[in-house]
Amino acid sequence: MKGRYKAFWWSLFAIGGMVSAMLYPAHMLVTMLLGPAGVVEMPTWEQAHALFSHPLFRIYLVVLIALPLFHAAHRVMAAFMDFGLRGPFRNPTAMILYGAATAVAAFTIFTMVRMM
Amino acid sequence: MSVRVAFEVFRYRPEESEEPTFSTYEVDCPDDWVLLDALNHIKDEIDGTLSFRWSCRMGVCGSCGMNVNGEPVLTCATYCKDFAPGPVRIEPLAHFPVIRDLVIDATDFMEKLESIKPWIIRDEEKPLEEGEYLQSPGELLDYKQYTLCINCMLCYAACPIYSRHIVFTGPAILALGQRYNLDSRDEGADQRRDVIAGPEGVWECTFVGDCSRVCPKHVDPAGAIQQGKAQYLAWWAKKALLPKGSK
Amino acid sequence: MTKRYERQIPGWWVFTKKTWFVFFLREITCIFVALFAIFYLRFARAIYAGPEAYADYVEKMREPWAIALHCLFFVAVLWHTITWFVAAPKAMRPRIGNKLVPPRAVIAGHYAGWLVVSAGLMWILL
Repeated sequence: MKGRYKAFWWSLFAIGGMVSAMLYPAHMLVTMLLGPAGVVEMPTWEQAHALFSHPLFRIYLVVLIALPLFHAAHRVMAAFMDFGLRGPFRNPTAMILYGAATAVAAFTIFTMVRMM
Repeated sequence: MSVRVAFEVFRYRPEESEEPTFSTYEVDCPDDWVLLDALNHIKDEIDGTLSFRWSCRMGVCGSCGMNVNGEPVLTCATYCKDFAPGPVRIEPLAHFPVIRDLVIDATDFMEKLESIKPWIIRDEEKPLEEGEYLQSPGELLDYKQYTLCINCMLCYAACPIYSRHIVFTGPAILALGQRYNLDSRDEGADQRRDVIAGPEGVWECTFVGDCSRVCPKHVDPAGAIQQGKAQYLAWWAKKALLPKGSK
Repeated sequence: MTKRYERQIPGWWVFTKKTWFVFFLREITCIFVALFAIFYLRFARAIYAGPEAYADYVEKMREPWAIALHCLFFVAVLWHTITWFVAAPKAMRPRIGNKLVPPRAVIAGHYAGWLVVSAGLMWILL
């Protein structure tokens, strides 16, 4: 069947969208707004490092960071198609967008595995 | 009680000109007139050359869809007094080629309608002696909303994807496919798969949602399409992970 | 067959109709989602790099322009969440026995899950 992998790419979009919808607001509120603005204490380096070093949290970070990247890549690709990008420019653009998402996702996994 | 409304009506007469024009008509509209009444008055009393489609004048046949002030509506269900004094712009249903005046060419829709196989498909028909196919009220609910479609094509006039990518199967046809796929009596999902889940099917939809907004029967084709995406994802995943186990 | 008159909307169609523009706003929230993903990755890497790197990063986050920008990010991501909880339930139409679960209930379920998860996260992070 033609277009046999469209379901797969859409599933990344769907999961990434759900992950970011559920988890990002709380993370943003605490880490980017309340903390820097002084409403709550930013964690000390020891506290932050303890949390971010925990193996479960590392796995969580991979899910938190990597999946929404594919969500964004898919949506940006759809936006380009809506604006009229079809024909010969379509596949190269898709490869750049999904390639970028894959690269950052791989870099995230690398970070979580290697950095202490 | 009546109000005077000015109508700016799209005119296209290919034997006279390649470019369309607009004709303006002033009509005294009684309060209970719909746009279709005014159009018929214009044709009967003012300008007999105006061409347009209509039939039941009560919102069940789907013939009288047009773009009014940029919005696709059924002209038999839209009141004149809401536009007084106007001018109210009446154009042929958007995103379809125009044959003449307000009459559009629905060939593309008709071909797609046939392609979705809108009938109950069984691997084997039950003989009459075995009685009817039983269906619970709950099983009926699964697809009932999608049976309400009157094929008026307003959703196609609202869909920006269809306008720019005409091979997109489109809201009404995809919802109709779901109507049959979700019907417990139907066994034809395999035969509809290429149309619904192929490259011009549900995956082309970016859920703008305007189709459901303009639908006069509240079919919610956008919802049907998203449901289709989730269902076909489940089917594809099962097939990918258990290639020998599933149909 | 007489010559048909063809009409097609332009490439900038999202700017020609209010409902289409609202759709466009929903779609571009994904850019801010991606930007936050990258931000959080850099934040994590700053933590892993050591106390000085972490302190530097926090200092930059405290600058007024950073906070202003992050407010914009937050609004965009919140809009993503709100529109996502309207859209996602359309793909699921649960039925219990002979009654369809009303869409409002499915949306409410999403928000309930979101509140639980957010509360848990904030408890961990604070």
